[in-house]
Amino acid sequence: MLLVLMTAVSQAQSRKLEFHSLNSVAITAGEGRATAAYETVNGFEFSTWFAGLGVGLDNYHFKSIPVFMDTRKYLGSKKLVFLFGNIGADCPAQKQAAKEFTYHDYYYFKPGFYADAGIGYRFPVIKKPLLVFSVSNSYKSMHARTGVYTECLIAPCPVTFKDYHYNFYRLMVRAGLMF
Amino acid sequence: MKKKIIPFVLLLISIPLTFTCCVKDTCEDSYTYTLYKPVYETVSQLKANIKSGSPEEIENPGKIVILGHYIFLNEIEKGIHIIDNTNPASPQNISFVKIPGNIDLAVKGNTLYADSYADLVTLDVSDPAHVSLKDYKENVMQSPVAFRGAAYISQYKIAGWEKKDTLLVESCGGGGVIALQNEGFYVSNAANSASVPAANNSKEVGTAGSMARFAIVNNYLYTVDNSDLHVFDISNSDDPAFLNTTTVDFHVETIYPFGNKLFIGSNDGMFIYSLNGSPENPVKTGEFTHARSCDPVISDGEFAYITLHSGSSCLGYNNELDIVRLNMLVDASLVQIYNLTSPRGLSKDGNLLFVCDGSDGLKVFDASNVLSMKLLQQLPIGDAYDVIASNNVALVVTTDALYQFDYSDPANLHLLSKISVLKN
Repeated sequence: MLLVLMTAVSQAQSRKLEFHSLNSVAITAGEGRATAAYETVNGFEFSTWFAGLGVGLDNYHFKSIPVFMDTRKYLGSKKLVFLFGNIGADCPAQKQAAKEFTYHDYYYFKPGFYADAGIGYRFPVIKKPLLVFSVSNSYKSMHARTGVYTECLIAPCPVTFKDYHYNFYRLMVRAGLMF
Repeated sequence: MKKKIIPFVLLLISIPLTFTCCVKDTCEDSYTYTLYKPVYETVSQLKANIKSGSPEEIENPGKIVILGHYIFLNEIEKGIHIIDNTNPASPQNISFVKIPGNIDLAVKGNTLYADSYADLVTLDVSDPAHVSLKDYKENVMQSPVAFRGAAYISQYKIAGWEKKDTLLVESCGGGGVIALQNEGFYVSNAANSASVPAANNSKEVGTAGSMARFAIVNNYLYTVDNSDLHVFDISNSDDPAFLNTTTVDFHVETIYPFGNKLFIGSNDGMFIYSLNGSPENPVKTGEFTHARSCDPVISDGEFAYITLHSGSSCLGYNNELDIVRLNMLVDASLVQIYNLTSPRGLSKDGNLLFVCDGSDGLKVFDASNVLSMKLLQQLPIGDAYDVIASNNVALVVTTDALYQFDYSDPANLHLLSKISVLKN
């Protein structure tokens, strides 16, 4: 087992397993609004593939922190153009109630789903870092629950819940530096 | 460099145009409604059905009264379970008395008094397995049970509700939270509210929990509703006589008899009524005001113990136990506050104070010094909401079960029995 692992690592090293850190700012544009977003993706490039983990700050409609796995495939011999996809969870960082929350005594947000797929281009201004631009369709969902205490004479009084399900399909344009 | 930038420029121009086709925001809200359709019966039909039936599963336990070897347990808005507790280690559910709209009860001797909406029902429980109706008085109090939008039909009473769950999904902002729909159906997604038990003045009178709204002192039955104290003369148990009504406060919750006093808990405070001289006409002799909250109260004569909890329609923010010194049982002053999680019903036996503390379960305190009570034990038995401690047996009502504990060793309570609540 150890031998197999050492062989794999050795082969990977010989084919240049490179660590990269990609740090981007983005404009997230959707129906009637555009907001800024930030993210960092850190992972390894191997041959024409890259895989890493990313975390960001997404201000679209609700503040949230997407945590995702990033995979990208570089095209061509120069590996400048790439296709990429992200998939993960969207963790709420929202504190304020949404305007839809009518008649609530309390509310809380629950995590949703995060996904993103698009195409990008990278090129060196000088040798390093690389400038990376991409455009993608991004999706995030979020859930919220509100509670209203129902009047009663004998405690504990029942609570009435209402669930909200949000789906946001946006266009995301990123610009970043890859180290 | 030019060669490198050209593809990027093309990308910037062409790709967003492609991608913008899929831009969309959606928001849906979902709401689970439970529709309750009233089932009407004439008063004579309803009265004919108030009798012992075969035992039924406990689904939504409410207030409790203990008398002798029997436990009388309210099934909220449906009736009363009668449990033979001759052996607390093995209680036997022996019968169920169907009383629509029932929330409260009190027992004296062989007679059980219960509410049915705004009516007072008097039952003969000399043979708990074969309970029979003795008397039925209509519209003698304010019903604690909301009619929930059901139409009022003269000569008819609501005997029960047909229940149907419905999930409604709509675009956000499309409606309110609760609405009345369809021929008097009640619409809500809430679970039924739970209620609880009171105190005792002689061996002939059943011991109730701290959240009772019925209390018996000698030959008088005292009941409280949202704002009033009602007095009934029960010297003739076959025909209780309504005597009078006194307005107490808004949002009255509980009544607890001690000696010749009645301690009435409301959202805003505790009121002391004296029965000296005129038990048929209680006179307010003192009060203690606190922050608005739900608050059952008990007393040992020297102190009153009031639990305040938030998270209900009472709108309070406090979760605490207030200990109030009673000066000659006519006035009150706060002497100590203990912060708790979500305290509800409580009971005191000697120096032991039992407090139901919501999801923390049951807490047992050494209250020999009320200024510095010591927690002896905490039993994590789920959402506890009332307790009756008597003769070394603590009967605890939770949303999941009815427990009995032996507290002869108060630092190490021993489970005697558990009757589980049927989960829907």
